[in-house]
Parts: sequence; structure tokens; C-alpha cells
Amino acid sequence: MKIAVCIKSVPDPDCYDKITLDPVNKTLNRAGIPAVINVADKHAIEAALQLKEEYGGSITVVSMGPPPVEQQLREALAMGADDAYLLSDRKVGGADTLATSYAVSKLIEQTGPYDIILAGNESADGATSHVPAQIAEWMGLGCICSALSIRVEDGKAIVTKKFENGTGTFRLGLPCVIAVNQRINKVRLTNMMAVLKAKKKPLTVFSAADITGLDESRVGLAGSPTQNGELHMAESTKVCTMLEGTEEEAAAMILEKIKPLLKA
Amino acid sequence: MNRDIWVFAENFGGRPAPVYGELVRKANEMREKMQEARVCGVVLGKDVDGLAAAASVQGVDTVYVMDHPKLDTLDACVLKEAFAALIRAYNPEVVLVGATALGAELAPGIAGKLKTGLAAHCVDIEVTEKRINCMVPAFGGRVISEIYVPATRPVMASVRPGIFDAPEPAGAGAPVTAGNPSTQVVRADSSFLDSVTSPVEMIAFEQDAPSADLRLEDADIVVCAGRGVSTQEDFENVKALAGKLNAAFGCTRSFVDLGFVPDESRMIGTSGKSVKPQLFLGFGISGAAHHTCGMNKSKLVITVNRDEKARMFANSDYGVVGDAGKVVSALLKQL
Repeated sequence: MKIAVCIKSVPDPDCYDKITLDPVNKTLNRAGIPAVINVADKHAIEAALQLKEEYGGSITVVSMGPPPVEQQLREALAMGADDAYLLSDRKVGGADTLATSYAVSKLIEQTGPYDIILAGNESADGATSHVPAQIAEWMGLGCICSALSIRVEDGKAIVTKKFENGTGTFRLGLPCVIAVNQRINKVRLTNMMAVLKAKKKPLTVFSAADITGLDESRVGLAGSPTQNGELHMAESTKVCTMLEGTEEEAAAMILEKIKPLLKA
Repeated sequence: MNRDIWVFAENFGGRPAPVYGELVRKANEMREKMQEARVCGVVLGKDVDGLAAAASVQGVDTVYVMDHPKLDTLDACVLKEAFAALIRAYNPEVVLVGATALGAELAPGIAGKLKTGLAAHCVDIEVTEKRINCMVPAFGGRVISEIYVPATRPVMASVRPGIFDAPEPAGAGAPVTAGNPSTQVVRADSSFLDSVTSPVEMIAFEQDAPSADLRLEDADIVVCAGRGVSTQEDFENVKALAGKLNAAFGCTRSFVDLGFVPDESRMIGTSGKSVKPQLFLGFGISGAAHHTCGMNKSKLVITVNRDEKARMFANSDYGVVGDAGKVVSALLKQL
């Protein structure tokens, strides 16, 4: 079984409260915030490791981004992936989800074929959850997002997904795209040995020119049907009054405030 | 090209999903600034006359229906074929989809098929003279980015349930009152689906057991536990307090990760629920944007946190610096 895992390098979500907006040129200041593998994508790597343990095969991680993303790909190799590909080129930068999914789908076609293409269900930064479904659309493959379990039976993937009022089970012909919910598994820890071994695993960086049949009108800012207007900080309009006292006194004051709202 | 605003009426057991009414209300606000725009519902499924009638709510001019046995599914791969075919046939300017479990998968599939722009999880949509601006949260809600679609149509936007206001009893999005059945139902040709084969097959659906617990989205009062609620006993006490106040219980991400709650249905914030109750009582919540973007439309917010610098206080009307567990126990005793 050949498995591809799409990963994204994102600014560490624990630091998002440090992001500020430059009031003059309206650009984001996120200096000093480290890049990490998007957390849902780690669960996709873990899902791939479990599939490989069960059915054999290989795991390839793919990503798109500037050259430093190699670090996150190395980390994915240390988690147990076998090889890695990065598409890195200014031409593919500034892409929205449609242009990103197009470029990533071409990278997957170039380095494949694969039986299962995995991804995290959403990124911590943009959090659109668009890219997996759009990779599937570009490649003409079946897709399930927010998967809670994956197994392979008679050459097909059996995937469960939670809906508002129940759980659906789906059978997907291979190859297929599956975006995993973070609850699908617990991500295993990596050790120092794995980190050292990962340094010797193959990691290939492609430019746009290396990708066969890449339609340059479909990538980057030019290939993006959505554009960004202004940025705003999400600011609260509330003014907080502190209730002083012991915990018992505070509880009494809270009760006083909420009493009119309580139903008899 | 016309200026129609379409709203997906997802099938929730023969009725449109509640987010449909919220989006129809918003679409009617948008239409006031879009000349000659109509607001239309979209119904997909098998034998969905009843659903089409239920989607004919106030403020909806036309309901477009695609009815076919293959659409009796939660497989977004076949549903996107039907939805995209409707869009190609009738050319709406805007398509709004509720970001439910299905909608969040369906919308990007349609946008991918039509090569058009989709704004994810909008918290507002503004129609200006020049363009339609979708307000999209990024970095866990810390930043709001204006997203617009300059060249391609339709403009697509997804919106989480509970973000926009529910319909007023007699307003747009509410069921039609007697004597006002003005919605036209248009049944589109679905015969092309006979030859469409989806790579995905839904083989089972297991309905959740009915729960007596009040759902977050239905509650006037929400009682929410954050990471500062650190013991099992305190956690149970927060739940007990919710019960005593006839409130819905909610929590932040860490309790889902730790397995204290079974799934995201009790989680408030990014990738969980958006709530806007009359009263939000928060205990031990630090106030990261990931969480506050799911509760910052709540009316009265009272929170308790040990850390006087907790960001949560900036989102609160009243704050208590103290041990969340102790305040909860005191509240339980005094009630």
C-alpha cells in the first residue's frame, strides 16, 4: 500500500495570541513565532503509520511552501515516513485553497501513484478545511473529510465520519483522499534515534518547472479565485468589571447578576 | 448571470438544517444591497417534495430541487455533481452553504468543480458597491480577513451554524405564515445522474442515541469549563452547575483531547460549536482566540480565572480572579 500524507507547516497555534497587526500598512506581525507541523497533519501521519503496520507499504509526505518547510518534512520522516517531497517556488506562493490544492495534486501525481492520500482535516492557521476535498476534485478521486477511522477491505477503504445526528460509514474505491479528524488516533512520540535516522531519508525539493504538466495559470496568486482585502484584529467590545472578594462572596455576586436570567 | 443568492437547504430528517434559516435571514439582508437579487433555496435528495415545501420559508423566492435516488446519501462526491449542475443551469451570483459535517465537505468540492472562490467559515458578509466581502477568521479567530472573489462566479461562502442570527418569528428564514405561500418550486432535470457513478458509497448510518442533555446551540445559558478546571471533581461540578441552571454544558479543546467528552459537540470554538446565549458562565478559560471566536457574540459573559491577566476577561462583562473549582462549589451550595 502506497500512502501519501499532505502536511502543512503552520505558525505554532500556541502563539496566535501574540500575532499583531501593523496599524499603518495592515500587515501581520508574526515575527518570532516558530513553524510546526499542523497538528491535524500529525494525526494523518499517525494514521498512515498504522495503515502501514497493518497492510505494509510505504509512506511519502508531501508539502508546499518555502525552503524552511524542509524542517517539518524532516520531522515527519522522524515520525516514521519513508520519503518526502517539497514543492517550493515563488510561482506557487500566495495561493488560496483552490490554487494550493491544484499544485499539491500535481505534486502527488508526479511522485505517485498512491493508493491512499491522507491529510489533516484542517490547518490551525487558515482552518478552511478546503484543500483535501479540492485535491480530490482536481484528481477526480473520492474523498471523505473528518474521518474517525480507516481500514482497508477487499481493496477499498472503509471510513467512518461523524455527522450532527449520527455516524456514517463509507466505502471508497482506491485511490482516494481521506482527511482525518484529530480524534482518529493518539500520535506516537518520536525518539532521538528516529530523528537521526530521518536525516538520511530521501527528501526532494521540486521547483514549479520540475512538475510535469503544471498549468502555471492555475497556481499562486494568479491561479487563486479568492483575493484578500483588509485584515482586522478580532477585538472584543466588552468592558470587564471585576467582582472582588473570596470565592464564596464572588459566587454570591455572580448569583445576584444572573438571577434575572434564571428560569423558575 | 443574474444576482441570485442561493442557500443550501441540507436535509436534516426531512427538514432543512437550522443553519438554513440563519443563512436565509442573512441573504435577505444582502439582497437589500443587491438590485434585483432573489433569494433561493437549494434542495437535493430523493423524494424531497416535503423538504422543498419546508425550505419554502419567508424571504425565499424560489426553491431549486434536484430529486434523484442517488442523492439519498451523505456522500459529498455525488451531491457536488448535482449542486454544480444546478449552479451551471441557473447561474446564481452567491452560494451560501452551512458548514455542517456535510456542508464543510460539499462546499469546497463544488468550488473546486466550478473553479470559483469559496470563503470559509465567514463570521459576516458585507455587500458594498464594489464587491461582496466575506469576513473570514484566521489564526484561530485572532485575525479577521476580508475575502472577495473578483472574477469568477458564483461567490461561495460557508458559515458555521450559530454564527448568524436565527430568524425572527415573522421574518426572513422563518416558516411561512398562513396566506403567504409565494415561493416557487423549480424541479431541475436530474436524469444526467443516472450515468454518474460516485467513487464513494455510503454503506451504513448509525443514528445517535437520543440524548436528554440540552444542546449548546439551543441553550439560553451556557456553562463552560476551561483548562483551569483541572480535576475530575471540578469538571463534574461544572456539569452539575449547568444542570442546576437548566444550562447547556460546554468546554474547550483540551477536554476533547483528554477524552473527558466524547466528541466536538460539547466543544466551543474553532472546529467546535459557535454559541451566543443570553448568559455565558466560563470557568478556568484562558481566552485563546480559538475559543473566544465561538462565544464572543454571547450577551452577558461572566468568567472566573485564577490568572488576573487571562485574556478571557477582555471578552467578559464580569470577571472573578479566583479558583474556578471553588467558585463552582460555592455556586452549587448557594443555589
